Amino acid sequence: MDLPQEMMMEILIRLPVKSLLKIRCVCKAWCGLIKSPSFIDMHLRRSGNNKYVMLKRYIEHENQTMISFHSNNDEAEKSLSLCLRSPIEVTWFYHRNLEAAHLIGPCNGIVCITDGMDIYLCNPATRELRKLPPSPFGCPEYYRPITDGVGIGFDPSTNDYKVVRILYWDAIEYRPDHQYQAELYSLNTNSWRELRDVILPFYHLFARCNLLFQGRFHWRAWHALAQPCDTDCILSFDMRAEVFDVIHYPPSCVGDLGLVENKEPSFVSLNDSLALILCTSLPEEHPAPPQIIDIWVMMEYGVEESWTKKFSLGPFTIGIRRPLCLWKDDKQLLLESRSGQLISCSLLPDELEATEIKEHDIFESSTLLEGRIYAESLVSLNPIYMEEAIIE
Amino acid sequence: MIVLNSSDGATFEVEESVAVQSQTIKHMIEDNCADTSIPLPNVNGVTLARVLEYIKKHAEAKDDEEGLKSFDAEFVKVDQASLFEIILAANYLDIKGLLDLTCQTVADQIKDLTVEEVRAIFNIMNDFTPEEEAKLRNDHAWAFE
Repeated sequence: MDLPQEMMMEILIRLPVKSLLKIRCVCKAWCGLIKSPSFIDMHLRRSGNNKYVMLKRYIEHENQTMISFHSNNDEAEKSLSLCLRSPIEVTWFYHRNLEAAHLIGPCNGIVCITDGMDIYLCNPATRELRKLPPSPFGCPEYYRPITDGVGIGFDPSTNDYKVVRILYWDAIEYRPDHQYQAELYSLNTNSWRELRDVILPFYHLFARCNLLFQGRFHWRAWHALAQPCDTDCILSFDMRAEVFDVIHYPPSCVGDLGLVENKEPSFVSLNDSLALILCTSLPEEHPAPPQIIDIWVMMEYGVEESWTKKFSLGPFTIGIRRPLCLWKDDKQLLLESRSGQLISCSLLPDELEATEIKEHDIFESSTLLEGRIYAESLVSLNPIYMEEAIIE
Repeated sequence: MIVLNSSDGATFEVEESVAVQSQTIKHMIEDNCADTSIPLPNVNGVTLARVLEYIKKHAEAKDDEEGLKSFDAEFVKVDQASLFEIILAANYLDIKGLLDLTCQTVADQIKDLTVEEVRAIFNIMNDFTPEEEAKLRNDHAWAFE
């Protein structure tokens, strides 16, 4: 018997991207349906129900960057011993030049990957890859442009994916000033434009420490000109309004010089609030002295008085290199140990033991681990009216 | 108690508190169209019986998550044609949980099938030319492995 189109849609939006790419071939009507913006949108909304942990790692001896996806739903919630199943899919993405690459995003299933020089947009679910054209804006003689940070976001008012790039002009011979610039790439037009009238404070960025949260991109930053008081803070960029802003850390987290001392900050979204994770820095000595992880939550976005310390985890003696991401519906924190292994620890008050996880070993040693929660989408990197070929 | 009439004349009695899981029935009751009985011309007797089985179970065992899970798993073990009938009924009667369950079941069933197998299930004619189909397959060849 035949099901009406409406019912077919209800079934199709529940399929993973890989199946949909196959099933497009069934007939022209289905192909058109699956490619349609409304279907892509509906599928994206549902996709949030089925999240993965996306890990990026750099495999030094092969000079490869690999992205893999792991199940976020482990039935054995009670025991923390087995938390990550073998990777669902290791993606195809190897690229020689991206050894120092880091992840930006994801945004609606699209990930930005950059090593500071080249910027790629990638949809790992459809395996689309797009290298962004180089910025057409030059810089004066005796200077060269250095990318400080990159961000990605979606602008619902123009239905456009944007990549923001913050760079500074580095003097080839030493000059004490840095000229900061911001540029914005639009996927719809496949072009860059300068953000000239935007007030860009003189902040240096830690490019790897970033978070897309509620339409704003955030970087860990420090104020480059505030001598002697370099101030650690969070720089944000509103992808829609195209405006920069600054969020300061909780006052008790910074020392007299305005710096976060002996701790590594990172940001996550925790139950739909912006959260700051402060992990005691990992020293070189063995065994490592105990490390504590504090998690502060900004209960009301933008209101600095609303920073509240919600969790204090540890002390841990196993040696934690860095937190990666929250997973299991923000109930557990995934961490990288000093030996490059994955550890998960619970945020719930009565389960404070960190437990090691054996990940399926498809790599021997890796560095520069990064983790994100990821949901698939069919969002295309080739908007319909573009004629650019996908560069692989 | 509410009385429901299927398309083929079968009659069913069900508690109002259970019946209102169907938004369609709920609105009919609110609009006072349900004084004697509610006609459901789009649902046959066999399917309506199954739907009622679902909503009765979900009403009485509301808080038993494990129990409902295993009930749901057994509930969808029916032949394809019946499953489609339940989907149509769940849609017509606007029972979100049942629609979700049945559509997800069909999605899981077709997820790993070949294109030809999917065509067979839904009785769909291939209207691509061989060249067109080959191009589509080539664009994402890895998806067919």
